Amino acid sequence: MVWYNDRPTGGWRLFTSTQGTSLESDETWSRWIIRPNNTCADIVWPRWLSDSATTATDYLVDWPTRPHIDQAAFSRESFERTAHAISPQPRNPEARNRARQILVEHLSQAQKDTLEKHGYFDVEAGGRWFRIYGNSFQHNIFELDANGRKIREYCAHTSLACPREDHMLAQKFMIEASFEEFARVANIWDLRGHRRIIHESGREVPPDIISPYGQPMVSA
Amino acid sequence: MIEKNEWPQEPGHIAMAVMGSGGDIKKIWNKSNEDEVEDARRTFYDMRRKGYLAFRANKDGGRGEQIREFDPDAEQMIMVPPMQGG
Repeated sequence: MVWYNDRPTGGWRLFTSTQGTSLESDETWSRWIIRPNNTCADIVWPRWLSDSATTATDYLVDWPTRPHIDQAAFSRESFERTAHAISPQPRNPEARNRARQILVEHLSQAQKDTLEKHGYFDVEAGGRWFRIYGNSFQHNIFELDANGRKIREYCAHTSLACPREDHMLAQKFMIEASFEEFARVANIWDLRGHRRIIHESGREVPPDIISPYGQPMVSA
Repeated sequence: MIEKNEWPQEPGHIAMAVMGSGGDIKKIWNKSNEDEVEDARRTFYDMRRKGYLAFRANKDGGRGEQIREFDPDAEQMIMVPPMQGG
């Protein structure tokens, strides 16, 4: 559920949820900040402030898939404008085009479809699934559980200011071929419950990240 | 060895795509030309010393395979800059 301000009808005092409930009060903002148990403050602001942001992370990262936005109406142009604000890209359009081409060359048809429609593609490694988003080159990789829910967030990217698609291809290759090395260099957050960092770049990787089921990851 | 923005079309020519801040550059060589192969081998190990990672993958969703030794017969190699946590 996401709360947004319905300014045309109610001004700043009226907040409407995607589930159709509304709240109008002079106390709305203070409630959002200081009363996390209030149903209207259930999701966004307290979590943004406390950095326990499963939903806030979803809110930020699933930009194209927010429930109150008609995905069909959410234009590719809007998506790219937002993505560029998050991670500015080289000004050379040819560089972007080459990066896009080389990325698409190394995706399956299913991966191409989800990238085109939803701005991400999924990668499998050792029986685990990872989702790589295209709206940023950092904080853009999520491990999914069996139900498709995000359980871990990974942040690792190339050390040069490459086009975003080059970062994505590098991330795909690293996860598929060298996951242990990828996990060692990445910063990793656990998203179950409070969002909390569980591994910092360069340190020894906890065994459950590399092999949660006691089995070695498949690697090249 | 020559540098281009496109994969080689000529038979017998191999390329490694080196990622960089201006987009990738394809370094192309003729695998029948020993000098060009040696030049490519030297470039490969120079980049590896700088921390670049080398991958080989088939197109259409092929899984990336990390390679640590120069393969003169690999049709396409992709050199990735060192990765870092974000």
